[in-house]
Amino acid sequence: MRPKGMIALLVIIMVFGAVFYLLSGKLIERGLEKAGESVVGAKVEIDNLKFNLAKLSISLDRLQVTNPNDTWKNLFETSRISFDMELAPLARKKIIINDITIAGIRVGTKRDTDGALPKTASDASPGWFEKASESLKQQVAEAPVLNLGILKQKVNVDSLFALFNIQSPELMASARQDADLTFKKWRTELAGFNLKNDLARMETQINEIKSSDPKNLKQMIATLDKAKSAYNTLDKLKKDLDLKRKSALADLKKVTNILKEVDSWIENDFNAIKDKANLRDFTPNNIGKMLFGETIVLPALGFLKYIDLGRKYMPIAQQFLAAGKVESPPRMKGQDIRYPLENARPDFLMEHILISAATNQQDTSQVMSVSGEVNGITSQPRLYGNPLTFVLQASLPKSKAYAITGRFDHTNDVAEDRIEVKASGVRFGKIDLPVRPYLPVKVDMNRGNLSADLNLVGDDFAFNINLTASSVKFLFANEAGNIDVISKATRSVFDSIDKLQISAGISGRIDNPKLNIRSNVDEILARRVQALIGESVRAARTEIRNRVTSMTESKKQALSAFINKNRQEITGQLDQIQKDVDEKLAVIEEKRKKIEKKIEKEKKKGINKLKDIFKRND
Amino acid sequence: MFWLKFISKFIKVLRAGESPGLIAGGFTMGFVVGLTPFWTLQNIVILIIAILTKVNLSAVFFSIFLFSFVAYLFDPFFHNLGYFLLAQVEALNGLWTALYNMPIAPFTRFYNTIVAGSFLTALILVFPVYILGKSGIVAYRKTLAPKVENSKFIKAVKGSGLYKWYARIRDMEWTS
Repeated sequence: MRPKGMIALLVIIMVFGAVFYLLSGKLIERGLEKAGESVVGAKVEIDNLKFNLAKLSISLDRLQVTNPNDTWKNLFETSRISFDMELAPLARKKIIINDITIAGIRVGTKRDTDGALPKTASDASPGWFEKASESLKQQVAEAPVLNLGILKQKVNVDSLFALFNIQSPELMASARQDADLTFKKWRTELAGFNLKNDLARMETQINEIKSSDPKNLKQMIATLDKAKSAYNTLDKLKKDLDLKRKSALADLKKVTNILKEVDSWIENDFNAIKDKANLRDFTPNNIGKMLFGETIVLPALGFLKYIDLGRKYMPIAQQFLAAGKVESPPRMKGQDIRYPLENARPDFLMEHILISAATNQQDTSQVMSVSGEVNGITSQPRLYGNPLTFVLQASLPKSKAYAITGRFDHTNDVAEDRIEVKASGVRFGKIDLPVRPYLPVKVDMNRGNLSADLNLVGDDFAFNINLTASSVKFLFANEAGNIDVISKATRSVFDSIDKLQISAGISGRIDNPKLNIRSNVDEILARRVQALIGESVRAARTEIRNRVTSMTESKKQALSAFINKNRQEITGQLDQIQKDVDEKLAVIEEKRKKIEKKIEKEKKKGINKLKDIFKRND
Repeated sequence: MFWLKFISKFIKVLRAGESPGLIAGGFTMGFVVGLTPFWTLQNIVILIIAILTKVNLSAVFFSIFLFSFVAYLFDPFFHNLGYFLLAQVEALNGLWTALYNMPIAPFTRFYNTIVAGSFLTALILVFPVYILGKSGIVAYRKTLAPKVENSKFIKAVKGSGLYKWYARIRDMEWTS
């Protein structure tokens, strides 16, 4: 043994130990802050984190998470938190926290400093959440706007059409070209299809078989062999033909489907011109979007944002085995090969969190307190085997609570996320409405019921919300006074409403969901607005419709005729070949059966002759 | 200067002093550490053993320095060998899976292709390197060193400026 070496080793260990003891808190603090910032996209600050190596516990005085949409406010901030970690998983760099209580969370507190992160160049293409958000906001923005112009608007349809190029004729021309290419391809395919030549070659063989009249057994067997061979050849040709036919019909179906799109192209043109002239329809659904679009869409997007985060940081796929060899990994780095883990634990798991929080508002009657529990936050849901679930209660003072439950199940191949909100007899308070001309800016609802159900299974999205409230009062930005005819009409509608019923749905593929809102206000307001709209506006709409139709109808008919004619021609050719093959197969089959019967007869004759010979010899 | 110190000391010990076995032992330990990626449990253990035992530390560090370059050259070979062992020999799959599930074994990074390939190569060569190293030092001291010292070439070299530079390095006094 080398005594100096022993001393040196002890010194090294002590120095490392001391450095780790002194810096561990800071290192963990910075690590957690960085991890949080990558999730939130804004500053995450932890004050005074302490790591106790002996107890494996962590405590921190405050956690502030910046609201990425308003970086001078916190999404939430906590008071003191402490929790324990499991020892054994730490050896594998796994953080397992069984229980944590986060009390006194305050939501929406003001920040002393800007919580924005320095901007970095991002090449990330928009994900499903951004697409859904864009699509829904677009639908809300497309809702019509009330203005005095709609009463006596003069629309010069000629100048509108001069300014606007309608797209559908070009789209139809392009569709015709695509269809033509497909038809040409199949004409060439069928012209060069060997089956025709093969059938012509077989014609002679079949006629020979058909006209043959074998006299003896040897001839019969020879003819039968010929028939079988011809049958097999034809059967193979039939199979080839079936494949071709399937492929052709699939292509022709695609072409035919174009016709179904033509109407939507024309409708898009009509709507685009109407929008340009600000002649959007005041239908109940559009009125619903105009009144409550933002109020419905924003919370739905808020829920979706959490699901987006869940899907990003709790992915469904878990790769335990390497997909394949990396041919040239970085020098001296190599490739890590993964093996199945028995009783594996996820890299990060918070099994159970107890939460109590309150929103930060000066008006104490509007402070919403939230409490409940969250289970199973993990970076590897499949490995953990259980979905993330949460049960929360949220309530305003002197009100019953909203029950918010959720389940993010990422343990299977398809992610299933669900959030449900139920409230009965709750005090809604004052709810902001989007600021739009002639419309109320707030709705004050005393008590009511709410049920909302959001489901996202894979890419299929469904969100339904139903709200009923009594003692409803709509509040306008300006007091009633010098008001015009539209104000009079809208105010009279909203003043007459005492009970509000809203039923809204968002559904479809998540990257392009469709928004549909109906309420008891829509029908009444729609009728009033329709009555107000000037005759010239109605006439302009009809005129635009007629012009678009006249500009597109002949092209639509021509495209339809072109596609149908060519489709029939090609399917006709295919049918004819099919018929030829079937006929020839039937002829051969018939002949084969006849010959087989004859052979059977000859066999019997031969057997009887043999029997006679044996009898005679006896 | 750190590496220069060990090279200088190594040159000194090659000529005389410590037993060939301790020098070859140190050289072999350094060979294993130098050939494989540094931050693995087994390398830390080897270095601790080297510090605690009386093997020649200059030989250890000189060998680490030397074989780190060799390892870089053979990197693709180690990757291929490691991948073969870890992913393509089905009979070993159970062993790797069991090791992967043990609490400490993953710190050896055996599941990395370069670690596995280079460590296996080092294990195969560990005894030849030790034996060759030991006999090489004995042979050098017995036969080669006096001959080399007395050769005309060396005498000529010793008179040159380059040698004086070498001698200065060799005879440097290091405080340890």
